[in-house]
Amino acid sequence: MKNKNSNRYILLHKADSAQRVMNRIEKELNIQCVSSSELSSTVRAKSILNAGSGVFFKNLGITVVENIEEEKLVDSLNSSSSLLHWELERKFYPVSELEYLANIKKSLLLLEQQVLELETSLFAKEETLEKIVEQRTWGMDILEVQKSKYSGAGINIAILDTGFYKNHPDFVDRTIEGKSFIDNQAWDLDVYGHGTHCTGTAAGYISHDDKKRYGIAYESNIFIGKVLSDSAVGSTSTILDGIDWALEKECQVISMSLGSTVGIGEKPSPIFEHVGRKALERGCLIVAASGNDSLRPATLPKPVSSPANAESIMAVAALDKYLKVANFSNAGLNASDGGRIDLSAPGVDVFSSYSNASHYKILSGTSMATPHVAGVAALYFEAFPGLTAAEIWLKMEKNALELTGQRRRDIGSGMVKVLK
Amino acid sequence: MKKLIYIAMLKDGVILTDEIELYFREQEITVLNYYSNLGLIELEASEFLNINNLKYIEALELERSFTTEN
Repeated sequence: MKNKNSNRYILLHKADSAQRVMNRIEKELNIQCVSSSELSSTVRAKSILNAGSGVFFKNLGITVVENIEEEKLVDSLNSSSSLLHWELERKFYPVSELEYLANIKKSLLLLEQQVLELETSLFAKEETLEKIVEQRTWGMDILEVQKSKYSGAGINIAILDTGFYKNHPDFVDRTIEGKSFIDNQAWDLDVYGHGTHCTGTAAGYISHDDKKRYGIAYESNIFIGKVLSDSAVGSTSTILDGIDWALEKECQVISMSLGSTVGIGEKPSPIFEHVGRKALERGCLIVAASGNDSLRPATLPKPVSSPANAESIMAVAALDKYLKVANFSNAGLNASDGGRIDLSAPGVDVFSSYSNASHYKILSGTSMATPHVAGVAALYFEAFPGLTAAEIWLKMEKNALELTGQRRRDIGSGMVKVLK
Repeated sequence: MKKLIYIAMLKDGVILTDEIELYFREQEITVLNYYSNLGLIELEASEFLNINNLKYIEALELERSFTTEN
């Protein structure tokens, strides 16, 4: 519809008798009115208005008048009269469908332009964030994290380890929840430092001083379970406590850079197999270190440690900068019983956050490879919210970078790859 | 004798109740912990346990020690 004003005014009156209203109009506005009850086929409203009189529609309590000074209406409204409201008459026209569609189209084009402008400003903001990063660890470089549009936003990652140094300068603006399962030892100090290092790789971002990127899922929600003591020792019960708690917190990823040595031919623990399956059913992927007991090439590698050797827990091997299996990284020797390597990731000379005076340290181990995979898993969960944890696992293995010339027992399906 | 710590997997559908806890106590086994999200219990005993002699349990293993991998 489109409106166009006329020179007529519509007056709304307080409830009163028709005669009293018309008397007031005559007195206050100097206009004689004719009641609508007198209208007929011969006595038309238009002719009454043209004659300078008003028409009082008694069933509506409304008067129509023409050519009146608005100051008189203002005065009448302000004084204690019968007038409640007045307005200029509008004209109405039939809706033109084509014109209506044209107006909608115009509005949509404007909306599209606004969305494009917003999108441009958001991308500019992301580029600005990436420009802050001045360098990356070799692990972040090889995984090409800067090409990923995912950040782990909205994903809960649990790192079950020695704790976390909560006052680390790189994490002051992060949401971090923690719990200690070690008697009389706090989770938020991390005297040992290992947990802080692993957390940094999985969920950190950049170093505060030289802006080096060392973490993957930098917008994930961090849950710290201290399941290893300040001297880096834990037990089945403390680890189960941590896993139980992480599931309670609805974590999608649990990273465990810990292990217990197993012998060749030793079957995986049915307890951890059960735990891994329970976690998957609850939408959670447990990632664990395959172990560092090997001394390649001098001796045969050692089998994947517990709990990584459970079929339902993702076992991670370590790679060096040449993407060769690290000499200490355990192998899937008990593969027929589930003790396989599933994926591999950077695990030699890995720079990350630490609970020392300098706030950073370079460490090597399948402990360091594991949070790389955990961080990438968080990106997958963010990218594919409709997939189950088991499906996420399959996707990660399917998308892994094949490392030709290396044995599957050493590197699994290959090096984990970040989602672009 | 030193106390032995076991982790036991409850049979499918079994949850820890007072009755089950009492059963273990009668076997001179203490339930230390119940991981409700995992269907597991932590047990303390003064003798080696044989799963064949225990009700409600699907799997049983001695607790082991873990450490960091670096």
